[in-house]
Amino acid sequence: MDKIDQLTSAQRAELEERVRGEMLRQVFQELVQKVTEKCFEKCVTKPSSSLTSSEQTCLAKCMDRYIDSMGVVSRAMVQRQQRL
Amino acid sequence: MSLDGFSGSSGSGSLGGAGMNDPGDSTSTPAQQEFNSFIEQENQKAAIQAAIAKLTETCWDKCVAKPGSKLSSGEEECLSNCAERFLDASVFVMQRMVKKQ
Repeated sequence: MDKIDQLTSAQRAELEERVRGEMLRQVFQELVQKVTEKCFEKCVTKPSSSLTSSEQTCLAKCMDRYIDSMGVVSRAMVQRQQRL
Repeated sequence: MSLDGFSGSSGSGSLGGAGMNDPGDSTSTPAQQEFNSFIEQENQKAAIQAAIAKLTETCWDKCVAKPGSKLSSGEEECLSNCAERFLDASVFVMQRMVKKQ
């Protein structure tokens, strides 16, 4: 695909859509991986023969708070940027 | 010229590659230029997302010891101070590095 102009505009739009989808998929995958790592660390301190219900509760809370934290951090970044 | 200059700090999610010309290249067609600026935009978005992810991780480790049913105001303040001071620190380090050269 080194000649973009050989594509019709519809093909190019489709290509761009696929690129966007792929980027999104990657961001999502990295988030899932990071949340799993961080919350496993906090919630499953002694892995037993199954995930206990309190571990599951902890994982759910941890996941929600991690996503909240992401929001706080990105808002702070924007604020900091505006003060430059 | 490669198109991934913006996100050079992190390899993740960077697009670019062979056969794509510079936006300003006289041999590139309007379609190529448009596509290149699309790629450029996606790279910028990816770089911003990567920065948010990295900062969230750093500040989460510092600020949220035990996740509760909501972020406490103390945790929120810590997170937002952490993010802003991290950016201050990176500017500071950058400036000092430049002076040292």
